[in-house]
Amino acid sequence: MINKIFNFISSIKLSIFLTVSCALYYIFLSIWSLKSPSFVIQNISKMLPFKLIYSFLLLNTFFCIIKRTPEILKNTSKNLIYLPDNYDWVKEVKDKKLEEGFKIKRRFSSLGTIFFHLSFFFLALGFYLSSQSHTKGKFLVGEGEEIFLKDEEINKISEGKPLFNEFPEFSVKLEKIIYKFWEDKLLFRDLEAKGKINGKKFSIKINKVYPLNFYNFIRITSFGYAPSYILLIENYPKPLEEGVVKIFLFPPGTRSFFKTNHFPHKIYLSLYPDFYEEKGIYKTKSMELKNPKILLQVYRNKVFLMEKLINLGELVKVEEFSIAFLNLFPIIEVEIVQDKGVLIIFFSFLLALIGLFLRFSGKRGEILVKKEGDFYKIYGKNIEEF
Amino acid sequence: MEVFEVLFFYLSLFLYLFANIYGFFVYFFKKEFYFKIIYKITLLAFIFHFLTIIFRSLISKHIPVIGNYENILMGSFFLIIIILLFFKKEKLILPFLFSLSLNIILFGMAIFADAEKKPLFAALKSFWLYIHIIFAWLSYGAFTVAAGVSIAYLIKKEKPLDEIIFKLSAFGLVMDALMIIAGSIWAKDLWGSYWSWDPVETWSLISFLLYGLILHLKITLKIGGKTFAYLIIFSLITVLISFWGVNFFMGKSLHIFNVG
Repeated sequence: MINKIFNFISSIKLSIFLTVSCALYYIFLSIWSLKSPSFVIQNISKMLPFKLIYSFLLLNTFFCIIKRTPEILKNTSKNLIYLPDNYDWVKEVKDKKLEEGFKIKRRFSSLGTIFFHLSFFFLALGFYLSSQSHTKGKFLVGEGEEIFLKDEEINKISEGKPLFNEFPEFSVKLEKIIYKFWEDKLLFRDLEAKGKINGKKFSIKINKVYPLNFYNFIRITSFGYAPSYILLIENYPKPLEEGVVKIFLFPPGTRSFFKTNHFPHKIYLSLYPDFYEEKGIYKTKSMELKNPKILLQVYRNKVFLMEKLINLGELVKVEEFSIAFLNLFPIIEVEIVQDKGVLIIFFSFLLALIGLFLRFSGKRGEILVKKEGDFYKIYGKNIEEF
Repeated sequence: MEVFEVLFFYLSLFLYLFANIYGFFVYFFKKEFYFKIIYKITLLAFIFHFLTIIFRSLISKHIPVIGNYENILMGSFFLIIIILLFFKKEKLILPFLFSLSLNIILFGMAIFADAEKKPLFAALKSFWLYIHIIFAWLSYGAFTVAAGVSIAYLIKKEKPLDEIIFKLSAFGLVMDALMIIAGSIWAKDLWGSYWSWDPVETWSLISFLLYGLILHLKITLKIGGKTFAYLIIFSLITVLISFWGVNFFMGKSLHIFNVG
């Protein structure tokens, strides 16, 4: 009975069934993605049927490895010459060749099969740890700004699980944001942020993360322009408020809002970095701040108060206060990612590569022995390799 | 310089076509056949193909990997390298001609692709881009040649062809694995996670599973050469979908930079 179960679980037919099921499942997934947003697909991929098929496939692979390992290990013996037939005369040739001191070339190649398939388990473990521990948090930081994040603040910005308890508190000083656009398109030729993290120099690019430790890293997720403003009231000599608003006025035309500290008004802003007007529609020629104009809209509670297209530095009166936007600064959104599966997944890749290298690198020695009358004739161009 | 790019492109396309048509003509009309001549014409076409890539690189100031036109140029380049290297040793005319036909179909599609020159975007400026793409094309190239040899096998049913299909598919599978691994590592840097269930990722996984399965069927269940050849030809569909189909028909891929 146990043998029957073992044979069933380690059978190639089960592998075929499960692999085809996986493939069909993925096909279904990609067709479903035609009409659904990507998070729906990610959720489907985490559903029970997928996990079941995947677990069965792993189980099947595990038993296949157990079944084949003794044979594979036997093949790595240095005294073995593999010949396809098992007649007496083949044995004679084999023994004769061994007496003559022939050696098997690449005798460990078959171990590659085990390594490659073992890597699946580490991959699965990595994915499991990743799904359990993966969490992230985002914060905005502008050029020239320095911010300090402590445990509780990190937990506050984290999306989902508050797993930043182990995360070291850290300070980020952003010295420079380098950005270059391609022509007038919304495409970056370069996007890099340079500065210091905990006093240590760092650089993150749009496609290059900065590792904080083995499983925490930071990356750039967004770019924008943030405006600085002053708020004045009558009969008061100093600005009542001033500072940089941490909002993204990007991509051009995107509407974002903020609230002042002293008034309940909602101030909506849209930026046109290189402004021009076409048939009454506001547009931008490029993404660069060549001729910036801001479309200002103000609401008190839900009451629309005013709309005006303004230049930088232009003072606008809104009921009892006046507001002006003095400058625009590049700002980036930084994401802290915590993923404890990363290293294990990377290790599984390494194991898979070692397996493939062992299995397929170099030439394989092949000989063919044929009995012709009373003589044995040995064919094969690689015979010298034995 | 654009004139040279266009000139060399059409010269190479013409020579590939000539080698293919001439090859089939002499083969089927059983005239005296010189594999070497067909091979040398293809080699000449390959040199012009290489020059097209050189001029394209000079104009766009980066290795041509942006947009469908450039991807076709490079993909077809890797495919023809595999064909030339492989058939230099194995002088098998019919598999060579069918593989060359598949290359012509791919290369010819460049005529219809948008050839607008684009810079190397910030997101693509990565060492992993080249690793990922080289392995992708070596893999897709090997699978395509395997399909070409399979067509020849279904016509001629010669035993050595069966072994060649196996070797090519195994090579393709290894390259495919390396492509997926390199892509995953790059994706972690670019999108923050190794795997996003992007349609291109999903389809490349499907093709990996399928080719892996077929090779296991061949090794373990010892399926016949005819079934094996049919399966290899059928599996090429998954490769085609992961490169073109997903971008053209689904349009929701993070790999959208493939589209010209």
